[in-house]
Amino acid sequence: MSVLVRDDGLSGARRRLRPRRTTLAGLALVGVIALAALAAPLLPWDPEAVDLMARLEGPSAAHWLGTDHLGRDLLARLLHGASVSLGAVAVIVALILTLGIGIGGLSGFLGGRTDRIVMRVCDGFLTVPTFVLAMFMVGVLGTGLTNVVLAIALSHWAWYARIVRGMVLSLRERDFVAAAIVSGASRPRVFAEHILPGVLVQLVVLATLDIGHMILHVAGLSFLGLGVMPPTPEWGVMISDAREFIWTQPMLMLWPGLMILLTVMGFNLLGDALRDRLDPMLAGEDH
Amino acid sequence: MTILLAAEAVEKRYGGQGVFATGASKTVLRGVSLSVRDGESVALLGASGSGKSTLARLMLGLERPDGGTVRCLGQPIDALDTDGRRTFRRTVQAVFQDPLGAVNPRHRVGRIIAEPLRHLTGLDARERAARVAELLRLVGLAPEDADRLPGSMSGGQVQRVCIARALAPEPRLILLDEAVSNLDLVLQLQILDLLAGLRDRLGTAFLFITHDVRLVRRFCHRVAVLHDGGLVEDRPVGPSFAFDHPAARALLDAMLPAAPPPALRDRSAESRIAP
Amino acid sequence: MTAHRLSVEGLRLSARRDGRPVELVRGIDLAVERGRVTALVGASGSGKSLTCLGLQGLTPPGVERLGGRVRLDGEAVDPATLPGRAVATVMQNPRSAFNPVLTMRAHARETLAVRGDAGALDRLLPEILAEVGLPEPDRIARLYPFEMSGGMLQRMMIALALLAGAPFLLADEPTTDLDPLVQAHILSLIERLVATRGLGVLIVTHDMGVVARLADEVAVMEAGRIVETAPVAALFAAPRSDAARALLDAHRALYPEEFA
Repeated sequence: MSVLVRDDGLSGARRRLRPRRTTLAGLALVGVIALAALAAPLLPWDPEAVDLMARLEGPSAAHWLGTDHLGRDLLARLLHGASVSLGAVAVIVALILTLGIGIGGLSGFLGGRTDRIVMRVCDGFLTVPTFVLAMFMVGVLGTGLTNVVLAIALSHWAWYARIVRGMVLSLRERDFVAAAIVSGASRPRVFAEHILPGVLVQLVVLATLDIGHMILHVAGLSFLGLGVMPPTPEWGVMISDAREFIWTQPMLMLWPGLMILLTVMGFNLLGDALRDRLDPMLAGEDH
Repeated sequence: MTILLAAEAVEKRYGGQGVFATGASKTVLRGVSLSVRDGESVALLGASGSGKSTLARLMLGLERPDGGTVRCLGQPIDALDTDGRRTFRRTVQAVFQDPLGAVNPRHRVGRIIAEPLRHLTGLDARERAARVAELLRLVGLAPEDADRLPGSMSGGQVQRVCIARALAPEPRLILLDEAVSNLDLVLQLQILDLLAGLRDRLGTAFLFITHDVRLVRRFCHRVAVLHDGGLVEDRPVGPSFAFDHPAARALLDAMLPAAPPPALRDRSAESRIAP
Repeated sequence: MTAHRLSVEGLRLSARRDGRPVELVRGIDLAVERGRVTALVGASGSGKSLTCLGLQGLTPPGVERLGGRVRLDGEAVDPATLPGRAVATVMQNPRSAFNPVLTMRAHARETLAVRGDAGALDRLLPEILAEVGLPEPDRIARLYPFEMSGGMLQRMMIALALLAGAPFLLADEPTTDLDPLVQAHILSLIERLVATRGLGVLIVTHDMGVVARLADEVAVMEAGRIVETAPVAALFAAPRSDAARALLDAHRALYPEEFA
């Protein structure tokens, strides 16, 4: 059967070498938006500069995409919105991965009573829909970007902890872990060298696929007035602000909406591509 | 001679776990005692479900028995301090059934073989690399193979890597848990001959877990038979040996024949009658 | 389905390695006759499992069929129409051949449906389960694959083969993972079915003990070619190819007292 296995590996390798068009599209979208997020603070336009003389203007040489109801430059606000959204999501993902791997990983690796208690706590978190839980937490913690980030991280970690625990449990039973123990590796070494790397690869894919979802969470909470507060240039806040002008100035709402759409789409395409690249390889390796 | 590893009246039960938990626990091993002395090759024979692999996991300290003790060099292995644990791991190594499952697919061969050297010896990186090259040659692979990933090798080659890893810390006992069952017969013999050669030179002891009676006769001095969680036979292997216990005799009787039956049954006549 | 002889001529299969095509099976002629057991033996990587797949018109991913004509009683047939009708298979790992969410009864019904005879299920199933040595047919029919041992599943595979009414059985290492007791039972079962039902069997194996136990004819493969074909007694008495000699030497090393 070794012949068959090797052939699978070959065709997998060929598939990996030839990126698909959707992969490139995802990379390009995420790349452009990330670049915008990084470049925004360096640009000369101030996203919070109010100019009541220039309210609700159309595109011009001074304001490429026009201005909003307070005469603020729309393009500057969109670009700064990218840094706010991506920055918030980066912190959320880092928090969730840390909590998920820390708590779920230890729970699965140690097993026994620790595991049972941790999993019941997770189950508690998982019974409430994440958005409702996040709303509740913002209600308790108060509004603002930091609290939104905390609320979303706290409402999502339990999913990741559960998933990580499952992966750890299945990896822990593998013969190569037994072999590492027989080779004299201590438990922390076994976890760090043999279990964590496998978990991380899969988690990165999962987190990439989830980023779009979290961007929507941040924007959604801000839209409802529970998240980022005006005048911070955040896409959800911008859509909320534009509600009054939906009939007269629809572009005010469409631009931030488009940014959210493109960002979510970019990360989803990228996540799909990562999964396609890494999963067959893992399946091949697992053989 | 020193007793290297001994199971003393070990018991193991598995509780009803999983989705379809019934609550009732299943006894897999009931009071099994088995020991391996220095330089001795002991076969552990049994049908599937007899508890062979569970006994192996207990004797390797991968699971704890529910009753009884496992001792390495006289010390109970679940009460070892750090030094004692290192001595235990240096003394007893193992090779598992599925070679590709027993190596981390992300690690290169050199790193796989060096793992026990890193944990159990004081060798530095250069000394480890030299020892890995020496071990690769010893098991019939090339020193350049250290840079390969296991996924690019055949099952037989990866099993040699696993044997090299087990040999690395110069153990006094190697436990082979169905270590050749997945390979074809020619490869099985090559590997057993390789191990027999090492045994002659280094005096390594083996605990050889298998269900193939033919391999036992070729490789082992003593054979123990597990049946339904209990040890039913424990006797020396002679040129021709027999068992008393019916379950053990059944294993011997099920052995495949050496040659086709002398009067070759001719079924063609029967089958051609009915079109 | 009263064919008596299943044969393949000039079977060639190739795969790509590092961009270059490599022929893994290079022109195999092989025949299985009803009421007889043909063994296909060889070292790992000699192409014997691929040949067995090619006989059913199957190729694993990445493998291409370059040529080969499958015939039933001399008449060329599309090999893809064979599985489930003229040819049934038993594989080394029976668990992967079963759908984990279907009971044994549902598997049996599917098999009969291929034949267009699903109505006969309740009449045939108990009889055939008893024939393959699975007692208590009512209980077995309700079991899911995970509730059965490897040996039971292998018997069930054979039961499904019988339900399909296929005159030929292709068995790829059917007993390699099984313990000797279960192995002996499965081999006896195949032997009995050959005698009573006139089943034609191709058994792929690396174990000359299995060959000695069961085969009438032996075909020896090496590097994608058949290098020797002989009746089993002749092969054991006087092997002509190096590949056959190597297999027999390894085999005989396991029987020290008989070949001292």
